[in-house]
Amino acid sequence: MQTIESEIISRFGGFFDREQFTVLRLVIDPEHFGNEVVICSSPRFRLKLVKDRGEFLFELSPEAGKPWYPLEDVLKVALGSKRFKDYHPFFAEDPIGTLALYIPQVTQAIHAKEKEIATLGQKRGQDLAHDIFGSPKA
Amino acid sequence: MTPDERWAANRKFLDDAIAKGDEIVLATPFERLHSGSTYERELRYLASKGFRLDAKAMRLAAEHKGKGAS
Repeated sequence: MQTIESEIISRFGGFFDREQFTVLRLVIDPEHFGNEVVICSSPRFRLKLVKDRGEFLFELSPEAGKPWYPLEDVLKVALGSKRFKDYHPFFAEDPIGTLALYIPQVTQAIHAKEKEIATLGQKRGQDLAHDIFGSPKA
Repeated sequence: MTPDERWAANRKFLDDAIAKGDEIVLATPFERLHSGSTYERELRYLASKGFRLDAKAMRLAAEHKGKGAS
């Protein structure tokens, strides 16, 4: 069975090298059913990779001690919703490849538009939950 | 594991939880809920089994206690 370190190196090693990412730590999260979490840092921002039930999720943070935001939300703010929608099929197929194309825009957004990113994420999640369950029970 | 095998394993875990008749506490915040994700698929599955979102959030309660997975 492939370890998460070897999987990350084989899938994202080139991107990490180009963007000067270093792996800070790898943890197994017991509160989330053993999700594997890898935290990396670059001169521009931090990147968290969460392997949850076989899927990779990507989150960004401007710096140590700041919250994490889903890559999708950061890209949506960085590119604008309409442009992100055009890129969504590519993003769904290759999130890190999409991030690699827009490093300057993402860097600017994660540092300057944090509140906008947080609000967008909350709304997206609530809207989808509402779509699934309808109105919450009182 | 293939995606189908993974989903089968996830569904068994959910079916076991449903059969116990307990509330389900969501460990993952909705900010991490994305279209097309496994999390979305799990929530849609639970909704199809009669679970409803509690207003106090992050908990799912069965509409009919003891209703098991079919």
